[in-house]
Amino acid sequence: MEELILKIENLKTYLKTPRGVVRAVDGVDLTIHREETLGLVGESGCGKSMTALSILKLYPKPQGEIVAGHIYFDGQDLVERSEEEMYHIRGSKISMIFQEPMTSLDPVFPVGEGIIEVLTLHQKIDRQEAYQMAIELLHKVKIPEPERRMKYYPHQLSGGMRQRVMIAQALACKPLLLIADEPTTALDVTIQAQILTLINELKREMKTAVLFITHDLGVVAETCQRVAVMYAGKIVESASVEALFEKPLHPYTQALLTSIPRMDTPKKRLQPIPGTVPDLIQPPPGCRFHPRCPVRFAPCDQEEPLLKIQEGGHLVACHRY
Amino acid sequence: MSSLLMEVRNLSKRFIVEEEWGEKLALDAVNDVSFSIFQGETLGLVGETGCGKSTLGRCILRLLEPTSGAIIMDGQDILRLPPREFKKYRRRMQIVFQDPFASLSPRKTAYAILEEPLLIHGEKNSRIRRERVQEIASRVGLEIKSLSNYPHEFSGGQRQRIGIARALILQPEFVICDEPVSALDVSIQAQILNLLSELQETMHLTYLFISHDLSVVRHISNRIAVMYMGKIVEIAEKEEIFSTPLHPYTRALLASVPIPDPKIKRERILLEGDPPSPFQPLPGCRFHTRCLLRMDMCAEITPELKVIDHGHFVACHLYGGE
Amino acid sequence: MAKRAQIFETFQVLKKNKAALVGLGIIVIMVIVALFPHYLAPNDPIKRNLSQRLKPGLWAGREYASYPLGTDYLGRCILSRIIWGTRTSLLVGFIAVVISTVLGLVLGVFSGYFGGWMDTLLMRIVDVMFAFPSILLAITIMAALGPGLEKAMIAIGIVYTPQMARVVRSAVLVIREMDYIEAEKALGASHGRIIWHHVLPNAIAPVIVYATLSTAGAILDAAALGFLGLGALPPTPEWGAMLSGSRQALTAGAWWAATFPGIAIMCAVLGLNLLGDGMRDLLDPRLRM
Repeated sequence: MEELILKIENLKTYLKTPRGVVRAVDGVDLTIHREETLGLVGESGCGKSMTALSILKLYPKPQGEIVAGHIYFDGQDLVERSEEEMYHIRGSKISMIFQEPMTSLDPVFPVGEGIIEVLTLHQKIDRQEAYQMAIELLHKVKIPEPERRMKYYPHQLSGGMRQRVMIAQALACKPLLLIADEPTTALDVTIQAQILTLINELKREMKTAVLFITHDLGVVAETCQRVAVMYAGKIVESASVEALFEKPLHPYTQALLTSIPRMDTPKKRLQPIPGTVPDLIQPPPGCRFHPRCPVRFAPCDQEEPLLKIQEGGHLVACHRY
Repeated sequence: MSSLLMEVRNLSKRFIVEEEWGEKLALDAVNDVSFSIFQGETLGLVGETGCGKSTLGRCILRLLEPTSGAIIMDGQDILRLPPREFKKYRRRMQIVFQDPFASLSPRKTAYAILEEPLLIHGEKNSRIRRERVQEIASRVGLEIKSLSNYPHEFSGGQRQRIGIARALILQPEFVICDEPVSALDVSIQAQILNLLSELQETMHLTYLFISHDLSVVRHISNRIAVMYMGKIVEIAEKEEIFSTPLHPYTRALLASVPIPDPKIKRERILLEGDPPSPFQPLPGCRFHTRCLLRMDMCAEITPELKVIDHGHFVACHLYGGE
Repeated sequence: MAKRAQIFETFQVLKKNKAALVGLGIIVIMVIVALFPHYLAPNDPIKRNLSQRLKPGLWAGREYASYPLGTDYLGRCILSRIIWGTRTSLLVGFIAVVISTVLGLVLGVFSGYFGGWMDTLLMRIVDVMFAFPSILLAITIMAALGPGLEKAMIAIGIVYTPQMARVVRSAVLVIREMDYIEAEKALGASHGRIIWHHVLPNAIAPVIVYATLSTAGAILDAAALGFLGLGALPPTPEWGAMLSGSRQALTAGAWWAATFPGIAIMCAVLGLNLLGDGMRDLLDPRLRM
């Protein structure tokens, strides 16, 4: 078995809102191996972004709080770490890229400054060295004329270029884990293809593990080795990409795969999933998918199914297995 | 093929954008576009952000006044009609928007929103209005008793159903669907796509389906038009476009869409760089800066949309060369 | 039914905002006072009693109970004048704001919705009006109209119009771009219908907030005009005029003649400001889930 870089155990992150407590992450178990890309898929509001923000302890404060669980990263439990200690981990050992690079790059600084800042903050190098390294990084993310672009402000770059800058900034300190939260959702497909290829190449070169968060099953199939499916604050299934697409076990995963239109194999009619995503303030009892599940039976609305291991390391949380 | 519903001829829309120092820039959002829409079909219009597909849709409905060109319906150019006469066409052509939150007035109940089109078109009998609102609501799958709720009390999918009902209550022939499922969750998209297909059959609708999502467009369309920087670069029957895409841009676009099946390993066609600035249009084919098959003439001569095969049009110098 | 639920919800939110609740309390009391001064005032506010000039109030001893807050330089009951003055001041504030709201809505909606050269023209006029200090502008208008309470209302109403027009215009600029307005156009609705049924109802929230806040300003300005002798004509009881009339009293050591009208002005302005801020929170949809 390969070495684990991240192991999340029974993580619970709750958010207090005026309407009540949102159980955004409610008992998540997740593992990522070294140099692996894990896809975390789910619909909006299923808690996938909140899981990622919990790893870096960047969830909204003071509304948000990790109420239970452990996040073991490189041998230490991040839940126990102080804000001061997290400060040194963020950006150097774990870094993150977001969906909208316009709002995550500081508009009043040239893009080169951001990269130099990350480098000088976490490594013992002077500004001159950092400047050279930043140019090299921009070159690595295939930004043409990197010397010139160093001085550009974020608004002077296109969406795709901004995302490249974000990637350069995130990978500047060769992190062990890169968290990519819907990094291509705001981009056009032709640009998305460029960025996905780039992330894959750099990840291989830098030996970084990637937690790839997306709602797009197509993107998962093309970029990840393993995949975890999240529904209403819980992981319902996790497996290798091949196994999951070949033989999805959880009814939610199955339904998701039959409900999306596919470009390669057209269908006459889509099979939609009835109902809507549950409210995480008062999630349904038992299995959270049971009100929408076509194959529910007796225990589903009472007992909560646990993740159980199946053939080939395939994990699924469903009473049918 | 069925009969012609509408013919768009040389339609252009130029925006004048004023820069900070009073300098004016012209943006040709839609540039000399011609195509036809046939009764009962769904014409998919795909393209990337800023290619002008939404502007084109709004020009057809005259929500934006086109700069030049003509739209022929019933043998007359509807762009030349005075507003009073054009109002008759309004009830025949409707639009469904992308954002189900921005498209419904937050201070009206669902009932008031659905009643609005009838009031605008002079239905004075409140009993008839009630009947028609209830009928369309049940058609799109809204519960009658939920109609007294305000938009924020509905989920995204339900709100989109209200938007569809509002567009259909006047029984139009032609509906522009502008990214109607893009803002919805994956598991809700299928519900709305199926609903649109059902309604098309039962109400004999013609759709212009605007989307950036090729999988969705492939699912719902009969024919597909591909747009790049204000121009239509290719139009063909759906199967034709997917089996034999001709334009290099269409090919790159198709190859870029991720497919949810890890066993399929395709050849990626990675385009170089970003689309050029729309404010300083380059001479020649607008795609030539990123095209992998460009020739010398591409930077000089703008290719015309030419028919290659039965119903397959493409604007590229690689085809039908003299 | 939905309306009632909305009112209930509004009250629920308001209940959590203590400051706004205090503001609402102050305003409710003031309105009651303004409606029934003849029951509440112990004396005739206009009747002079020269033998009782500048007498202190209750704090000086039981024998002064007939004028609880003392008397002014003409021997009039200060408490009664404040109570009757509430009616004058609230009325001035209210009418002035109604005038500015109506004018501001018309101008703001026109320039925001239609845009173009009319927008440019209107906004430049507004800029010019902003260049004057508001009280100076009010005095100038008063100089043209002549003194009097009604003239003061009109002058203050005009002074507050530009800011209101700005508030309306910026709200309309946002609403104009919404898809639901586009949907109305696609349905063939006339501009009048779109403005009346869709733009106005959605623009009303910031207008209410601004109207509440500017009522406070209007009361203050009315008092200032009164102080300068341009507002209410004597002997009408008005807070600003009362302050002005007490200047000599202050030198005579009769602090109460100026202090109590001052406190009344402060309470009204504070109450309206607290309420206005509370309503801003209330009407912000992000804060009500």
